Amino acid sequence: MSNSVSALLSATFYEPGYDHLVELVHQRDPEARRRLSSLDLSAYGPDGKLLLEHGLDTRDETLDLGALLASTAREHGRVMAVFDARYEEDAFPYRPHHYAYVHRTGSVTPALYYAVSAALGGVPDRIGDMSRINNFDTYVFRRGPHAARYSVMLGNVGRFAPTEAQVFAYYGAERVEETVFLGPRAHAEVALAPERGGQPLTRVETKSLFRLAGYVVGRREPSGDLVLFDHLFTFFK
Amino acid sequence: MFAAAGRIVLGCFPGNHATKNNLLVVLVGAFFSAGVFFVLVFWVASVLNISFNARDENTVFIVSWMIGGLLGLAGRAIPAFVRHQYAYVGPDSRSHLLVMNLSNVTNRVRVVASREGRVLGARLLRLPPMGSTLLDIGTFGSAPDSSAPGSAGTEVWRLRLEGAAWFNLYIVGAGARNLEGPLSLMHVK
Repeated sequence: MSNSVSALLSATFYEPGYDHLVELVHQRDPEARRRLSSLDLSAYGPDGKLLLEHGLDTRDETLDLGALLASTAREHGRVMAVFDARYEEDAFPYRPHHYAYVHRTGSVTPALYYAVSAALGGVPDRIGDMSRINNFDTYVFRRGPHAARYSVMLGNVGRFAPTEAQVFAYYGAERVEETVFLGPRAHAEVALAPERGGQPLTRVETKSLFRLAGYVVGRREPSGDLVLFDHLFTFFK
Repeated sequence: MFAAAGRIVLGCFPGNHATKNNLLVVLVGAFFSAGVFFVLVFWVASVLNISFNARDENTVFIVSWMIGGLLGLAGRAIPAFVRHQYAYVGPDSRSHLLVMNLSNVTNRVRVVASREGRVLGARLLRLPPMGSTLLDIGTFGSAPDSSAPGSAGTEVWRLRLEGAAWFNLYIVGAGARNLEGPLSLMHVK
């Protein structure tokens, strides 16, 4: 799909125990109803193994990921859900994207609403992202403790090519680097220490050969409930 | 004004969008409605002895105030800006809306909530210049009861927001303690 201007490949991560609903078309209006021409969902285990393929009805407005992936995730752990959407070309220059709602069932932690990480397509000038030499994404953390544990979830949405992703965490002037190897459609969660040498985590940055699906994650202790789930932002291409 | 009148007329049709069949009716209706609005505005202006100058900021404010006020009496807003947003209501979580007026005039925003095609209710928000308000989604209907036999999980409600001036949204996420507990905040493009 890399040469199609009317395609959008985006991905999120599903963990068991969460209500997780994805908006197939954000802010659906009468015009948007005509724009989405097809949408396929595929799910992958951490090693990139294909666990599920599912064609979605474009007349549906939202998708309950839990209903589709809960049993798979209980068996394999965290699952990467990849959305392959095709739009009619007159959708542009409107930028199609998916939003999603996630909440740990029964928890007092607040529900989170987020934009699904778009790895490829969506706007014509991002079609070439998969072939760029370097892709940088970043996230700046709010001041003050927000979560007990932080991490970055990264997924390689490439079908054939493996990649190395470098994760840089910043603590004041200090930079800590970790390298992650991701095979095709593989994904991983990289833990980030909330502080180092008395300095809090201020920023995280990822660098990779391919544009990855990436989220910055914050969890409560001891439950591990998500209190932060947000995509990283591209700042240099 | 013409676009706003057209949107009001379109609202009378199923699907709320223009088709070949309703195009003529919408166009004529929009022209007629806009004309009636302006006649009404200028009549009120003449009664109150207000002189209008199209380039005068106060004129824009007064006209907006008059039209918005008249529509507000009927529980409506000038639908110059329309947005659609989903809201989530579950047994132990929900998403509220923080509606922000990005204009320097008072903005009336009408919010209509529906579930599975059935309208749950409508609210008219009156936002002061650059003001904001938290819209409690629970005021439109009750959350699904998890203890009820055969109860479903989180429900998805559709919201249609229409306002006279530019406005923006944030999603305020809540957990089991609703607004009494911790909240999350997310900007919506």
